[in-house]
Amino acid sequence: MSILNKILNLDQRIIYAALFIALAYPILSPVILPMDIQGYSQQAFDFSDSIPEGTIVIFEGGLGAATYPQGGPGMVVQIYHMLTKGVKIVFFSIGTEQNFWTVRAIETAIAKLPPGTPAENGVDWVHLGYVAGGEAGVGSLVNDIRATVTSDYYGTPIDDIPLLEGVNDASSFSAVLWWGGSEGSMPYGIRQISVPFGIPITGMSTTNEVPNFSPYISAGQLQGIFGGVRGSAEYEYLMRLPGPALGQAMATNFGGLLWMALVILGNVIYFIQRSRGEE
Amino acid sequence: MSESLIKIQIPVYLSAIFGILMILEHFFPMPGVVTGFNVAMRSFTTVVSAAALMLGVIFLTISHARTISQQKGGWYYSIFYMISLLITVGLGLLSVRNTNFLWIYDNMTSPTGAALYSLTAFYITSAAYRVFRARNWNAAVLLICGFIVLAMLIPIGGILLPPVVPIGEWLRSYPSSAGFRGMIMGTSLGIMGLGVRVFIGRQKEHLGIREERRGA
Amino acid sequence: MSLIIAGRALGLVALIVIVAAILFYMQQAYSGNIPKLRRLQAVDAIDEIIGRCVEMGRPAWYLMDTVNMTTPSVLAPTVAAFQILSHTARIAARLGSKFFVPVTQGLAYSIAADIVEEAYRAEGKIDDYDPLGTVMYLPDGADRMYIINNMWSQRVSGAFFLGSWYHKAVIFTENAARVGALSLGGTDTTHNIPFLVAICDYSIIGEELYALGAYVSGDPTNSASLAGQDIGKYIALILIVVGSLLATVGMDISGMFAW
Repeated sequence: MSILNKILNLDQRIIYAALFIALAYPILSPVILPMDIQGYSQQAFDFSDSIPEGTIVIFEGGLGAATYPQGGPGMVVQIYHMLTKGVKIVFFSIGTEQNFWTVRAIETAIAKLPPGTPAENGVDWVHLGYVAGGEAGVGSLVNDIRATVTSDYYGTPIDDIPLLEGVNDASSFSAVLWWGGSEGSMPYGIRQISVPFGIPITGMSTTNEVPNFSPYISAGQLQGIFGGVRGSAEYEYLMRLPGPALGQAMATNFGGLLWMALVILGNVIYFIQRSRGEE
Repeated sequence: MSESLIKIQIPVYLSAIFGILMILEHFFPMPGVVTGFNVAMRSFTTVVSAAALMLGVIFLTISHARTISQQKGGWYYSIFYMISLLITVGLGLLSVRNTNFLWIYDNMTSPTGAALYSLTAFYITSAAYRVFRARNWNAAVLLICGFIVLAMLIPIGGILLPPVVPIGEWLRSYPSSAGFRGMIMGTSLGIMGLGVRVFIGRQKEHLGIREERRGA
Repeated sequence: MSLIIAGRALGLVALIVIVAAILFYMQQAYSGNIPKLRRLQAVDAIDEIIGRCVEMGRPAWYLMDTVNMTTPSVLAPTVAAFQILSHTARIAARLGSKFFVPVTQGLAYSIAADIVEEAYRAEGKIDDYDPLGTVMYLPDGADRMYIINNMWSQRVSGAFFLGSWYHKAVIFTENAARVGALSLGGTDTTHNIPFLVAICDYSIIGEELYALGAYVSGDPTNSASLAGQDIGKYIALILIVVGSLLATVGMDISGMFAW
């Protein structure tokens, strides 16, 4: 087999090793490179920043163990952003595992808050826990909270929660924040909350799902989106709150550049072979 | 009661009744008893999920027990499975908020889940190297568009090659969105067709039933 | 109190029209008036893949990825995948191909096992069916390494990736391609369709997953329902053209559809 053929049919283990080095090195030995902010992320940040103080937002926490590394840092920043602005938050999750990670994100965000920032459970935020039934469950929750859940994640009866006094449907919320990870569930929030109640929505999804939501952004139904680890990193950057996502985003630089180099290499060799009439 | 009634007709009728109630709830203001019933039905999915998980654990345990008893290849890994199962179930039964149980989740389950999810990056790179060749005009267009969008997405891409940002955002916002819109519409119609066939009982494979068909 | 919840009347009308169209064509098929449908390439691909497996004496694998039947968004493509599994298992049994179906949820496992067992029984090949081997339960998470390793060790020569596919799509399809397997892929999760199209030898996109399920059922009334779905597409096409023209001439159409 000619050398060109060998390169064209490169053993995948060599590719994996090269990618591992390209991703691991900037994480172990941080490399800070310039980064510009994507349009979608800026739009999502601007929208989040415009949510009026004192209003209540509904927040879906949809990150699991697999997606928390890329979305978790951004979710922590979003919670931090809302609480420091004085916006109150009603959390819920449509997955059981995601429910657990939402609590993790809340605890992490609260630990980062400046001293004196109001963040009392039941007053400034409440976590309604897992809501069964997927999209139908979301629809049920936002039309009648008390018919859907009887207590919050910690077992406090709904009627004993000061934040939910007089709040029983989505008409009391000023915005929807949907951190759906890889659930692909953001359309639930659009269809069940945003469109029927006229409440704007933004959130996060994994990078590969962002094209899925481009139609909604173009139509104005979604106010931008934080896409994957880069979206989380951009949010950290915009909030001046450096965290794990920034380091991971730097690593994606090298991974992406390696990917591009490999594809160029493959195509160059392919064309050389074709010009020589080889198979 | 005949077997056909229990295995086929009752499940089909129940699927149709519950499905139609859910649909009606979405469009019409329903009395509290119907809404409450629907909420209860949706909550039952949690119970069914748990039952499905138990079923899976039982099947897996039987499979591993068979491997150990017959001393098939890798049977010692099955012993690891049995020990892990006993420890995790034992701690979980004490309390799912038990410190040791959470330690297992935080330090074993979730890092493993994240690591396995990250395999995707390696396989995408390997696939891209093998598949993304400009064999013809269609493949060349796909390659160039993919390049531009990737360059836009990596943080430094916009700094190294500023034109990729507006071009990539245009590609993402217009042609890509148009394609996805078409797919979303088609998929939604497909789901509606499937729903009709299931509700009227014309397709029963979801019940594990396979009827004799012409030309199969 | 209004008769219909505000903002949902249009959706209700659309639902009624499309369901009526589907039922109409199904009723026509009952009466013997069967619409002519384009043959899906995937139907021939199933035969080709199984045939290849028989020739090479290597197994065919049928993978469905996420089969969490209690999640609504996953249930529909999983049901479609079961329909296609029924047909594929029947062909595998008939031609004598080794067939393997790993499933990652207990409920789906029992349904898949029933489907495959019935297929083997229908072909009179029940002895070829291994109750714990042909359809196997693998816990979600552990399935990745098992499938990757065993694809190599068994030198799989045919693979089907049908159902609700998420990030595992790339892992398994690329692995199958490297092993040299001929593959058919299809999912309705739109962001994973490009991966399946790029890597698999044959692919079905989005709605074709449901269409294939109806097509291979062998029941003309099910196939006829596809014609009803096409009515929905024509309506969408007309609305897109009309809406585009109105928006181009500067008419604000955002309020027209909020009833």
